[in-house]
Amino acid sequence: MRPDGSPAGLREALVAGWPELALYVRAGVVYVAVGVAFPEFLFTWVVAAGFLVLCAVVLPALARRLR
Amino acid sequence: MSWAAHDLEPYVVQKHLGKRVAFVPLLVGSYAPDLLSKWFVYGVTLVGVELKADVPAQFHRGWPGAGFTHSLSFGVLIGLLLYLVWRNKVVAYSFVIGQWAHALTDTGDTVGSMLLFPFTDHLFAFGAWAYAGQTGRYVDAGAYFSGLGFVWDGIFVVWALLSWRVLTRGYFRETVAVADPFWRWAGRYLSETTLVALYRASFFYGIARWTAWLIWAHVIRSFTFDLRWGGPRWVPRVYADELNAAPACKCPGCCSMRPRLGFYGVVALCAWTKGRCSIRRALDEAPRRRPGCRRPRRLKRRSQAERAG
Repeated sequence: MRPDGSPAGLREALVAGWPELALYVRAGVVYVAVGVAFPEFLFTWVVAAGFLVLCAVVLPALARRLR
Repeated sequence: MSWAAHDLEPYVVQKHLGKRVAFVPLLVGSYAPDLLSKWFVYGVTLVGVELKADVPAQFHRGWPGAGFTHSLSFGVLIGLLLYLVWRNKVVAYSFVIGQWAHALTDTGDTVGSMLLFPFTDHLFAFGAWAYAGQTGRYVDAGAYFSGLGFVWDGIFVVWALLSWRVLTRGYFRETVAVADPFWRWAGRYLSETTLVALYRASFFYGIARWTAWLIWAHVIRSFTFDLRWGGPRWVPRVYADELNAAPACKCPGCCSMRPRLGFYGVVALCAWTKGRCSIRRALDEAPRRRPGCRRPRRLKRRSQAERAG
C-alpha cells in the first residue's frame, strides 16, 4: 500500500478489486449498448451517475438482500 | 468543444496534485463553462416553447454572449467568490484549475475561447477540429467523433486510464475524502460504496460515452472520418474570425500566429519540459565520480604515440 492509499501495483489492485471492477465493466457495457441504441441517454451526467449508482450499488445490495 | 476530455481532466489533475486539490470543485470547475451555456446552444423546449440561441457559436464562445464563461478571469472570479463563501483556499483554486482546464481545452476547435476576456474579446483557437454546435447535438457529435476531436479525447481516455490509482477505494479514503470537505459532509448520509461510485461517475461517463459516440457515429450512422486539421470538412464549420470583432483585430495572434504552428510549438514545449525533467532526474540519480578518481586519458596517450611514431 502506498502513502496515498492506492495499491502498490496494478496486479494487487486487480486481485483485491476484481469483483467491483467486474460490476463497473458490466455497467459500462450496458450503458454503451443503451447509449448506442438511444443516444439521448448519453447527453446527461446525472443519468450516467444515477445509472452507475443503480448498477454498482443498489442492484448488488438488493441481490445480496434477496439471497 | 470537447466531449469526454472535460469528464476526464479532473482525474488526471487529481493524480498529479493528490491532497493539494479538492475533487468536487475541480469537477464542477471543469463542467462550469458548458453548464452555463451549452443548453442554450443546442436549445431546449420548455412548455412548448423552444429556447435556442440565434447564433449558437456567438452565444457559446463570443461576446456579447456567454463566451466569458470560457475565459481565465471567469474561473478566478468564481474562485474568489467560493473563497469568500467557504474560506477554503483549496476549494477555490481547485475550481480555478478545473475551469482553466476547460477553457484551454476548448481552444482546440475552430472557434476557440476568449481566454483573456475582459482585456480582449479575441478568440484564441488552434483550429484542430471543427466547431459545429450550430448544427444540433447529433450532427455535432458525429462531426466531433469524425475529426481530430475524438483523437484529443482519446488522449485523455488513455491518460485517465494510466491514472487508475486515483480510482481505487484506498486512494479515495486516504486522499480524496481527506482533501475535499464535500465527501465528509456527504458521508453523513451515504455509504462509502455510494460515495466511491459517485466519485468515479465522471470517469465512467467520459470513457463510456466516448466509446458509445464512436460506435454510434461510425457503426449505426455512417459519418465519414476526416482527420485533417480543422476537419471534418463535410460539416459546416464556424471560425473564430466570423465572431466578435476578429476581422478588425490587429493583435499578433490574428496577424501572425499560425494555429497549427502554435499547436506544434505547445506540444514541443511540453515534450521538451517533460524530457528535461526526466534527464535531470536521470542525472541526479546517476552514480557520481569520487573527487580523487580521474578517468584514464587514453585518447591523449594515443595521439601522443601517433605523433611520436
